[in-house]
Amino acid sequence: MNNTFSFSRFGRFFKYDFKRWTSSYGLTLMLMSLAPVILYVITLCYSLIFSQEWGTPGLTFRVSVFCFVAVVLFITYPKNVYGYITEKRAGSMLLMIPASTLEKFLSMMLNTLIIVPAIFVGIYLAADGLICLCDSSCGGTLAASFTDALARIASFAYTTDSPIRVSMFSIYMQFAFAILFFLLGALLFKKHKILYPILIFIGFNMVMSMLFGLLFTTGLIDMDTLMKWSQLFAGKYLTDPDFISWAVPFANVAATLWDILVVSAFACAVFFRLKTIKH
Amino acid sequence: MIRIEKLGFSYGQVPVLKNITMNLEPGKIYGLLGENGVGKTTLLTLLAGLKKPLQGNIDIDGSAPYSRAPQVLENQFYLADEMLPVPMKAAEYARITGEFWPNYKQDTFEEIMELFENTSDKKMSEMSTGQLKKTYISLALALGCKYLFLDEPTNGLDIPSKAQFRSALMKYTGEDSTIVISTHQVRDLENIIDPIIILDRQDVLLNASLEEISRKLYFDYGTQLHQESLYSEQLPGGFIQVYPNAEGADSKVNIEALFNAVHHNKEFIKGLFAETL
Repeated sequence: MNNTFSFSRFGRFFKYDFKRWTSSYGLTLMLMSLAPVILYVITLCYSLIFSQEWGTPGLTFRVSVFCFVAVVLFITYPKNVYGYITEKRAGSMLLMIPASTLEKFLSMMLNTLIIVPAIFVGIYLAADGLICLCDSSCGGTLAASFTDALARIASFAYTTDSPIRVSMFSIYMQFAFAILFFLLGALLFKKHKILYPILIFIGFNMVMSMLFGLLFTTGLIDMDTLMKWSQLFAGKYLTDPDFISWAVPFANVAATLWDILVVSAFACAVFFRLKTIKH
Repeated sequence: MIRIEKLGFSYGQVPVLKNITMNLEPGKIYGLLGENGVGKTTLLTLLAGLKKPLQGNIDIDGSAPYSRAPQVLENQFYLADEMLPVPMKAAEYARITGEFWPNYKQDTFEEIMELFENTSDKKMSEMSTGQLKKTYISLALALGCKYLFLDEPTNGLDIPSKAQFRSALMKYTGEDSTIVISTHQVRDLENIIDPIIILDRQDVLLNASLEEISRKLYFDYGTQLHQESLYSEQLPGGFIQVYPNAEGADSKVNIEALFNAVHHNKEFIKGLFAETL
């Protein structure tokens, strides 16, 4: 018997994991995904009652609501779906299921990084699209708006001669990092599974700010020299198409590698937490 | 076969188990007894691989349970005292969970649920504590595991369910299964647990079969008090007394009296059963 990985066992575990989380979190995910419908109905009702007008939520407002719901989902999903693992009563069942840690980990990753975001974004954009199909006053679909925004993010003119191409993969990695950060928090802490990661994030940023502040105030980094160097660099290189043509792709590759490294480090931390968790 | 050698475990600076050595043989239902906090649940969770031994080791058929390798896990199951209600129908939950264990049978699960007069098409999150317990017991027995570790299985069960549990345990476990039941409700399981393990703080006071216990100790249900008794308790119409069985007479072991006799005479009992330990 292969104790590390078996496709059939992984398939069984993924099915088990999927059924378990859909039974506990499926309804919440569905409600969040159908937020455009709820938003549309509420706005329309208010508008009809208070202004006697056919008022629907505008595109900017809908984009803001989408971002808000997405952030809430990606912060709460790991806690609600996998937070139980640290609880003795429920978590021990997962540990006792005859599947390897790798299989359990991969199922968790697949659900967290692909299935749930895909279901959420898919249903959300479809619901928004349907509303726009029925009501032409919606001001354009979110899907079209996002496609346009992503195209602009992915390739924008840094200088007239050298457009920067940002990899979509890198954008996805940023999202993966954020959700893994909260997943790790859900697996590490027995209580305050959302609050503690947020506090750690704030604390880390404060420490880094203080560190840089100290570097400047103690004179280890001279602000004037730094500014002069930046201006010199910008003047000499950043307007040079030859430099930009190789430096930007290089920076993109380096950034993508860094993102992969960070996400891999968080994924490893999740794996080892799962492997060593005790009840 | 489970071999426990010089097992030690502590919670921070508080030692719970120390230098525990014993073998758990196939085909037996072990009763794990002990006062609160002596480490019964800790021992069961160590056996189930939910904790890592800090000293010594546990060997289950050549593997360490903490490895949590599928090969090890598919032979065992640990039923905790309290389990969380899942928002899923019992039959569906049992089916998707049970299919990981090679000997699991959905029909057996349904049969045991019926024996317990429990409905398998009810959501577990809508069940009472007793119904939930019976569902998990049904699942545990239907898995067909070689090693079953049950922590206070009769807690929360009503009187008929306790009898149903006993008959289900006898009917649905294999002859070569090793079952370890931790309990304070000794009367619920008096007729099925054999051998008896009595844990003390960081020590095993007794690990002996009922036959050996009755060979070495006499349980007197008479009306006269004996000077040599290790433990005596007044009952309506007489006494229950435990004393060394010097004459080799037959008697029925009363586990509650045995437990108290052991606790009042720790060193004497350890000496008496030294060969077993």
